[in-house]
Amino acid sequence: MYNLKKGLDIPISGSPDGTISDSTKISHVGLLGPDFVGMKPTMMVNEGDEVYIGSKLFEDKKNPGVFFVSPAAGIVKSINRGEKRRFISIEIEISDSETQVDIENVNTNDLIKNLYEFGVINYFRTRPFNKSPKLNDIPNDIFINICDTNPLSVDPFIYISDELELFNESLIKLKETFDCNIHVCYQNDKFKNFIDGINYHKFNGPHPAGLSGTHIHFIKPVDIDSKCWYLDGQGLLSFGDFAINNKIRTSKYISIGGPSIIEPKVVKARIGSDCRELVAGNISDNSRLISGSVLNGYEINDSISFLGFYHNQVSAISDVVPDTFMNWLMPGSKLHSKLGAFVSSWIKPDEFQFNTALNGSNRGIVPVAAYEEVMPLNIMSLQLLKSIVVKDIENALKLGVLELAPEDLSLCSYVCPSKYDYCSILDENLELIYKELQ
Amino acid sequence: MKYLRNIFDDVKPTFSKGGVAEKYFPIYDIFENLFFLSRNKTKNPIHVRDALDIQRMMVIVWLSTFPAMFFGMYNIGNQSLEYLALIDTPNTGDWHHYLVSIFGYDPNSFINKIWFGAVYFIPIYATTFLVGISWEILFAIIRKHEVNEGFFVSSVLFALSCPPDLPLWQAALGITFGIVIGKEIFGGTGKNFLNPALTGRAFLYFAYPSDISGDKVWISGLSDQMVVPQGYSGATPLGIAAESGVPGLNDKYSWFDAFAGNIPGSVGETSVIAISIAAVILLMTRIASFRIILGTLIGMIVTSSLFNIIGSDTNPMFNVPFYWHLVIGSFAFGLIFMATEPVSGSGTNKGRWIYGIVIGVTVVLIRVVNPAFPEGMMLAILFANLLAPVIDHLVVNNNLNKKIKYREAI
Repeated sequence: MYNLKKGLDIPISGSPDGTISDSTKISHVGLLGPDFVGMKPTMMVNEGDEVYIGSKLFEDKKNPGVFFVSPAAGIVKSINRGEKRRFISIEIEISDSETQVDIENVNTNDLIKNLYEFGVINYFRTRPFNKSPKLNDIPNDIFINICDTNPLSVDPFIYISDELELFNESLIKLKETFDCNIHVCYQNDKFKNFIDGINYHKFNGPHPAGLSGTHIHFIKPVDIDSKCWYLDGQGLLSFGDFAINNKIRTSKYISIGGPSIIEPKVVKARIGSDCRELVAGNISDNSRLISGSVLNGYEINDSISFLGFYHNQVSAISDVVPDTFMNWLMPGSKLHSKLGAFVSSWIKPDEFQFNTALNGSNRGIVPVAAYEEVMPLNIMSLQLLKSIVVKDIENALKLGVLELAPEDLSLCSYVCPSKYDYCSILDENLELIYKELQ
Repeated sequence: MKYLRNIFDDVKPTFSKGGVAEKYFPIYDIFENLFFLSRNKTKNPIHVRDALDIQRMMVIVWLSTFPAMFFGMYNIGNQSLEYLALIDTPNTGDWHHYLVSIFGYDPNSFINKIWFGAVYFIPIYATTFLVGISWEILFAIIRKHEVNEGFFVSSVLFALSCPPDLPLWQAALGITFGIVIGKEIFGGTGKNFLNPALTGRAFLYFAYPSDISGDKVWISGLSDQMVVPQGYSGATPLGIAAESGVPGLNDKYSWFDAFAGNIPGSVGETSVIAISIAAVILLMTRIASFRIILGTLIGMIVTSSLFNIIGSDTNPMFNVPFYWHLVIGSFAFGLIFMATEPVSGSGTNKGRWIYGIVIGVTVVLIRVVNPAFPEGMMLAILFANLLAPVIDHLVVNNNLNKKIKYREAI
């Protein structure tokens, strides 16, 4: 059992309760390029092509043999590209009757081959670098995360318990397939279904106690040669459905919440759902819709409009930033802050109405105590942040940058009074390190 | 408020990209930020942000100096008017006289005292502020970034650490050195390794020792009048302690005088009570590190007690106990405002303890066993500033070694 003290649960209003309701009807689904770190697609379909559930859409040029498949049957409606033809998203219009391509997993070798062929391998990510595993990679450890401490998330236990049988079978199958250490990290006291041969670890504490990066750091810290994979509970269910039932899972549980969501709820929705369809009629005007959590998500706009592959939630906050008169002098009873510089830190309201204000502008790093207070990992946070800002990768490697994914630094960015975005900066550094190692 | 907002919105295009005064955007930005929080919005992937920004942080430090500042002004008047009454000369002997005489030289009037202090302090602060902010804006324009609010703190701390009689050109020179050499040539706030205010103060200390140290500079008018009545001395308690130790101190001031601030000294340093108010604000808002403050206190108490035990017949400073060290000189001022400056201090939690202890030990060492400088706080902090990267390096290496062991254990 790991009891973490440092960290921060952002008191944002609009959390859903634990009951699962039906999703609104979704007519479009899509896959987002930015979800897959360092991926460059070789397209295998064109706009207008007809696809089935499990039809190959593209292959990763940088990681040959890893395919990405359609989560729905229908017509490829559009392939969106951004600057320099960078792949952004592929959109599929769902047809009325859907069929799945044939899948047969006869033995373990077949299964491993098919995991890559049918894109299920993408549920797994490697640490370091947070990319999809390479063809023929065999992991030493797989971490399964059934915690979620992100703001506005729900405890994954509520839907795991609905499909507990599949969950346990999947674990056994996973162990059988890769023959490695399997670690399950959970947070809910009610989780009691332990299987022999699988390692279970309980994590208590505020965010980021529920992130895989935190779990791996405490259980088996990675370095450059580590063969460590991680995935979340829903990823495991998808793996299990595929391996046991020869089925490509097309839906996942998503929590919908935030100050701008009228009725926060948990729904079972299509994988890659169009987020605007998902919240239609359930969102206030002038809001920013986010796929993912407010600490790690994409703003939904015309080019990125689908639920991220690894996201289990959709959030919405007000996009109206009111003029704050003399912020430096106001008591600020409605503004949240980690340190004690606002009255709110003393009267402690339960919840805050967050909006998209940056609350300041970019300045040089001033080392306040907040960075250390939100970093439960045994990492010299300030030194690491400074070294990634100046791209001193040698020093960053020494300080343990490889143990991190961008989401692990999101709280450091949240509290930063100089308004740095350490997540994006970490991304650039990891990409740089990855290239240097090739 | 709406009216004000409209004015800013009207003027903004002139200063924005493509506008006539595009280069001078930092100047516009200062004023806009003064009244309105920036309208910047969050971007992927972090969509909400903590409400604290550097501006608010620095303004809190700035406001927390106000008790010390106002008490300092009162104290200048208090000390000087008493002296002037003693020599029966209602004239400070220089240009300040024209302003002081508006309210008069009554040593029993609170208003007169505070006015007298303001006449001396405000010109110093105004000079410091204007010269300093000109440098800041110049660097901001050349470097194309925004003016950092850290300057508010540097300027007020520099002014508060000066003696009341400081010539204004020296104030200008000191803050110039502090801002340019202490901060801007390294890239501005956040990248400096020395405390800018102290760097400027140290520059003056070594460049113009006669104007910034000795017995005459702490009472306004004393150095101009040059009349020292029988039995009077403008020496600070620290100077007295160096001469004649605790008996000398007790002769002239009670401990409570020194604690409350009823003693000669730099403008902001005398009242430990006023400085304690700032300490409470800075600790409650958690802008200052309690580790540095406690570390410094521990270092000072242990070292001074050690000297008390060793004792000396020739050096009366050996016998000065820690509770006197706390209230004389700039120990409290430096501890709360200067040592806790986060950028030039240590950047690790363990390091902050060590950094504090280094300051505490060094200040007593300089005060007690160094014959050249009676005051050690400024030099102790600058010394610790220089040492901070080394401390951090050791702490980080220690952490990395422990991590390697943890990994091996797994």
